[in-house]
Amino acid sequence: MKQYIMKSNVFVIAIFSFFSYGATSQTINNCLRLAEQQYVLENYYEVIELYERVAFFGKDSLQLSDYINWADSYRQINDYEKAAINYEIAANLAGVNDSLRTYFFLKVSFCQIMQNHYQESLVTLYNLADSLPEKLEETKLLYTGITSFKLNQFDEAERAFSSYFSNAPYQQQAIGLFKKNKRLESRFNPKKAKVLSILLPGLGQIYYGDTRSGLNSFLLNGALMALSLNYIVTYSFVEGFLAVGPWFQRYYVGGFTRAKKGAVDKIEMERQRILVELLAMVKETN
Amino acid sequence: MTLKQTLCTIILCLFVNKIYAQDVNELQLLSKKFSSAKKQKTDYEIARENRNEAQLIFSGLFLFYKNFLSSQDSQKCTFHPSCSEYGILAVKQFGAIKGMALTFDRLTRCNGLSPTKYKIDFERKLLLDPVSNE
Repeated sequence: MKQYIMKSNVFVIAIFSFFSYGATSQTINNCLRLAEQQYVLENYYEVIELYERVAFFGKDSLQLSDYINWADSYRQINDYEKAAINYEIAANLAGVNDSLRTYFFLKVSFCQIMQNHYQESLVTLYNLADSLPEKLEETKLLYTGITSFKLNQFDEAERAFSSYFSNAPYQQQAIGLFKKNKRLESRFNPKKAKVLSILLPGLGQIYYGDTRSGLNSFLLNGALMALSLNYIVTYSFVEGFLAVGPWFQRYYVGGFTRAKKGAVDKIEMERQRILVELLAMVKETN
Repeated sequence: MTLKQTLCTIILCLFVNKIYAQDVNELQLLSKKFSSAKKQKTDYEIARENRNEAQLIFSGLFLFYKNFLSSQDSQKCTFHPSCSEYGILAVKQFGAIKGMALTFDRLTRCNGLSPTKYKIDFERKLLLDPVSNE
C-alpha cells in the first residue's frame, strides 16, 4: 500500500514538472502592459494596484509614462497626496525637458491646492523658472493667484490675476473684485461687531447682516434680563443674581463672542465668493 | 538615461500641447472645490423621520433648542454627539422615558472632568459617547 502511494506521488510530480514548462508567472512587463490597458479603460483602482505591485517587485522598471499614469489614476480617485508624490517623481524623471518638468510641477501644485496645502503649493510655484511658455505661464499665474488669495496675500494675488487677464475688461473686473475684497475688513469689522453686541445684544449680528440671529440674541437676552429684574423685585437682589444671573451671563457672553466669530465667517464667505467669481472669469476666458 | 526613457520623453514632448487640455478639467475641479466650501446651512437629519407623536414632540423641542438657544450659547458640549443630539437619539432608540433618563444621565456627565473614561474623536476634538444601552 505504502509503495503504491509513493508511486502515485512520483507520478503526479512528474506530470506537474512536465507542464510547468508552459506555466509562467506574471512578469513585471505583463503587469505594466496590463496597467496601461486598465488606464485606457479608466479602471483607476486596478491601475494603482498594478503599479503598486510593480513598484514592490521592481521599482526600476517604472518609466516616466508609468508614473504619469499612476499619478493620474490617484488624481482620478481624489487621492491628491499620492498623486502629488508621483507627479513630482515624473517631474524629476523629465529633467532634460524644462516644459515637461514645469508641467508636472504645476500638477504637483494643483494637487497641493486640492489638499489645502497652500504654503507648499506656493513654494512649488516659486521654484519654477521665471520665463515659461505662454500656457504654462498662465497656469502658474492662476495657481499663484489662488494660493496667495487663500493665504491672505492679496497684493500678490491681485498681481497674479491682473497678469493672467490680458484682456482689459476682465482685468478691470478683477481689480474691482480685489478692491471689494479690501473693503471687507472694514465693512464687516469683527471687533466692531463684538463691541456692538456688548452694548446691545444682537446689534453686532445685525451689523454684519445676520438679522435673524441678531433678533434671536436680543429677545433671549431681553427675556433673561426681564426675568432677572422680576426676581430682584419679587425676592431680592441676591436671589435674582444667583438664579438667573448665570443664564444671562451665558447667553450675553455667547452673543458677543458669536458676533465676532460671525463677522470673521462673513468675511471668509465673501472672500470665497470673490474667488469663485475670479475662477468663473478664468473659465470664461478659456 | 536608457533608450526607453529617452523615447518616452520625446513622445511626451510631442504631446505636451495636447495635455494642456486637461487644465480645463482642473479649473472645473478648483471651481467646484471653492464653491462647495461656502458656508452650509445646518441640517439636523436626526430630527426627521418621526415614527410617533412622542418623537415628533421631542424633535420639535430639539429643533427649537438648536435654532434659538444653542445658536446663542457661549459654551460647547464636550461630547460627540452633543447632549441635545444624544437626547433625541436616545428618545428615538429607547422611547421617551428611558431616553429622557439616559439624557439626564448624560447631562450629569457633561463636565469634562473624566476625559480618560471616553474615547477621543481627534477630528472633532471631542469625547466620544454614543447612545448605548450599557
